[in-house]
Amino acid sequence: MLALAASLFGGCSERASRLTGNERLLRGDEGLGTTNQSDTLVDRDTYVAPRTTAVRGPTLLVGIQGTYESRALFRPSTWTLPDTLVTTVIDTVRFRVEFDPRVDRYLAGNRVLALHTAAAWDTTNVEWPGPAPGTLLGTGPDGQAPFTIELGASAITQVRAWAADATFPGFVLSIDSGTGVRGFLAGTGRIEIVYHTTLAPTTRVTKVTRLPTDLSIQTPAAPATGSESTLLLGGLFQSEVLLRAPVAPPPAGFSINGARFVAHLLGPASPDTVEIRAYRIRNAWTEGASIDSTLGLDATPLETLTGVRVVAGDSIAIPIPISLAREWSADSTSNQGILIRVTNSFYASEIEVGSRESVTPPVLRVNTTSPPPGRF
Amino acid sequence: MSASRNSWVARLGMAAPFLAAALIAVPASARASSAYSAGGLGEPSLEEPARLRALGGAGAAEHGPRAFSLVNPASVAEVDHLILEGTVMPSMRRVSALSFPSETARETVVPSLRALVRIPGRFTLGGAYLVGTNGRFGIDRPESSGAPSTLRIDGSGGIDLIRITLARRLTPSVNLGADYEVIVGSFREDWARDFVDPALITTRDTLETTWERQGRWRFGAQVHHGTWALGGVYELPRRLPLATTQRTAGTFVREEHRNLTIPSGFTVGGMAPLTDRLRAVGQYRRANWSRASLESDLADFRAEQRWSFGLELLPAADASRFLTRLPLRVGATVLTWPDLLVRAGATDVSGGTAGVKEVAFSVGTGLRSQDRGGAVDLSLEAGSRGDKDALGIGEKFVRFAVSLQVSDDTWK
Repeated sequence: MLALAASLFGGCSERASRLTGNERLLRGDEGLGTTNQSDTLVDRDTYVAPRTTAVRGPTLLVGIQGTYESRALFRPSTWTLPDTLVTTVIDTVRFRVEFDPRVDRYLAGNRVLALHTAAAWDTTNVEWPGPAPGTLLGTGPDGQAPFTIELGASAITQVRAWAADATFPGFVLSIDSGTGVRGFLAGTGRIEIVYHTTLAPTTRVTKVTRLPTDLSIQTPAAPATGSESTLLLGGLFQSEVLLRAPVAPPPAGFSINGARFVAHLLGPASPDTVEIRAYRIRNAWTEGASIDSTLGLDATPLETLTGVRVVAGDSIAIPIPISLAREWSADSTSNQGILIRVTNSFYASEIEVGSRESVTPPVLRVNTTSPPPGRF
Repeated sequence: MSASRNSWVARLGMAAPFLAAALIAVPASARASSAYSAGGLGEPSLEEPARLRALGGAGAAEHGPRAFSLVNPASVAEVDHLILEGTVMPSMRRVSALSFPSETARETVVPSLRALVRIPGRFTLGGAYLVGTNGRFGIDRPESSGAPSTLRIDGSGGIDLIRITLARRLTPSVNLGADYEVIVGSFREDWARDFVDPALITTRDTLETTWERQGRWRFGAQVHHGTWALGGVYELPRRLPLATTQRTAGTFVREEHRNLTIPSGFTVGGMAPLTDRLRAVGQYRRANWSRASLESDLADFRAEQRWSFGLELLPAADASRFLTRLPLRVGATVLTWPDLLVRAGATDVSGGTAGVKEVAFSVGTGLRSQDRGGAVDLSLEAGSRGDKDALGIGEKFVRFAVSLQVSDDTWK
C-alpha cells in the first residue's frame, strides 16, 4: 500500500511550488530587504617603496632616468675555458646578455653601457648602491641584440685569473652615457671566449661561461610626505599604495555582502596592462611610512587583478574578502587597510592615483543588505 | 480465500514493526504544505488517521477497543491493549496563480503518531505527536530593490503538538478523558539572496519564530448507547511568549515582546445508525482564533471551524468474498482557516484580508487482521482551497492517507 502511494504521489520527494508562492510573499511596505552601497572616504593613504632596492626576477634593469638609476650585477659559478695549449689562439673575449623587450623606458640619445668588475658583495642582502665598480672592462652601445661588450683577446689573462679565484665577486653592468632604462633577461648573462687552433685556423670555437647569479639594484624612491594629492603606483620605483578606510558596523540585522576599495586613476593613459595585487596590512602605519617592510603584510594577496589598463578618469576597484570586511566592521583595531602592488611594475608606466587630498579621493565602497521582514 | 487472507494479514502483522519504523523515519524535511503557508500560521492539519479522514474527520463520538479519535481524549477509554498507530500521507496539489504559470507540487507528511496502553485502574494512557499547522513553503523570486538579486526562501516548521492522554470508562455508556497538550514547534525561514553583480556575496538570513513550550488541557466526554454516540471536547487557551530571531553573518537580532495565544475551542460530534450496516457521523469543531491571538500587520485571524460529515457502510457479517468484507467510507469536510491573509495586491492587513476556505471530499476503506490486533486503513481525499481572485492563488489537492495500527495482539 505504501509503495502504491509512493508511486502515485511521488513518495517523499518534494517539488514545492516555488514560483506561484510569490503571489503570497507579502511582507509589508518595507519590502523584502534591500541592498544598497555607500562610499566611505579613506582616512589614511600614502605610497611606499618595497622593502629592498634589489630587484630579483625575470628582468634585469640598467639605466638612469631622473632620480632613478639601476645597475645589474652578475656573478659566475664555474668557468668554462679553452685548453692552454700552444696551438690555442684566443680571438676575443666578450660579455653578452639578451635584451628584455618588455623594458625600454625613456630611452633617449646614444646610450653606452659599461661593464666593471665588482667589489665583494653579499648576493643575498645586497642593497643600493651595491658593490663599488672596480676595473672598467669595456663599454658597448645599447644597440643590436644581443647586447655585447668586447673585452678583447688580451682579457683572457684576467679571465684565467678570475677562474682561479673562487671568491671572484663578478661584474657590474651600468649605464655610462645617455638616459633611459633598458631591460635584460635574467639568466642570459655570459662571458664568451672565442678562439681557434693553429691546426684549424678558420674554425672558431666559443667557450661560454654562464653568470647564474644576477639581479639589479636601484635607487630608492623619495619617501612620500603623506600630503600629496597624487599617489604613485608601480613604475620603475615599484611604488606601492597604502589605503585604509573605516568600516562602520551596519545597523542591527543588516549584513555586509560586498566591499571594495575604489581608487581613481589620474593617468597617464597607457596601452600597457598590469597585474595588481592587494595585500592585507597587519601593523599600524602612518602616512609618513616610507617602506613596506614594517607593515606586516600577509604573504598571500587578498586579491589579484589582471589585465588592468590605465585610462585617465577611470578607476580600479579592489575587492575585499567579505569575511575581512565583516572583521573590520566588528573590530576597527584590526583594520589597517591594504597595500596595492603592481607585479613587475617596470614593464609599464607609473600609475597615478588620486589621494584623499585630491578631488577624486579613494573610497571604500560597502554594500549592505537590510534584513528580511519578519514572518508576523 | 479465507486462508489466503489470514496468511496475508499474518504477514502484515509481522511487517508491522518495520512499517511503523518507516512511518517514524519519514524525515521532517519531507513535510510540506500549502502555498498559503508563506504567511500566517500555515496549513491547519487534520490529525486523524485514514479511517476517520475518510469520514471527513468526524471522530468526536468514536469509541471502542480499536476505534478512537485523536480529537476526543475520551475516545480511547475502551482501549484494552497496547496499540500503536501512525499515518503517512503523500499528497499532490495544483497551484494556479494570477501572475505565474500553474505548478504542481508533491509532498509527504506525517500528520500523527500515537501510542496507547491500558494501565491498572481501567485507565488508558496515551501519547501522541501531531502536526497542528504546517508552515512549510518554498519561493524563488527575482528582486530589484537595490542591487538586483534573486531570492530563494525556504520556510519550514509550524505548530506541533505533543499530547499525553488519560481516559477512563466511567460507566458502560460514559467515557471521560483528558489531554495535556504541549505546544511545540517553531517557524523558520532561510533566505538566500544571490546577486547579479559577482562582486557581491550571497546574503543568507535566518528568521525564526519560537515560543515557550507550554501545555494546555483538553477535556473530552462521550455518551453512547448501542450504536448511538455523542462526544464533546473543550480546549483551554494558552498564552505563549513569542520570540523572533533574525540571524545573518555577524549579526543577531532577537525580539521578545509579543505573545502567541493558542485559543480555547470545542468540538461536538455524533454517530447514528441509519441501517444495520450503515452509520452516519458528524462533527463541528471550532478554535477561537482572533486578532488578539497574534497581533501582526501581516495576518489577521478568525475562528477556525471545521464541519465534518461521513457515512460508513460496514461489511455484512456473513460476507465471504474479499471485497464485500471491506468497509466503505465516504465523507466531506469544510474547513475555514484561522488565517485571514492579506489580499492580493496589498502589502499588509490594512489593504484588506481574505480567508481561506477549504472543501474536501473523501473515500476510504480498510483491512483488519483476523486477530483484530492490527489494521491498515486508506483514504483518498480531493478538494480545493482559497479564492484566487482575492488571494492571488488557488489550490486543488489530492491526498492519500495510509494508517497502520498494531497492537500487542499482533505479536501473540
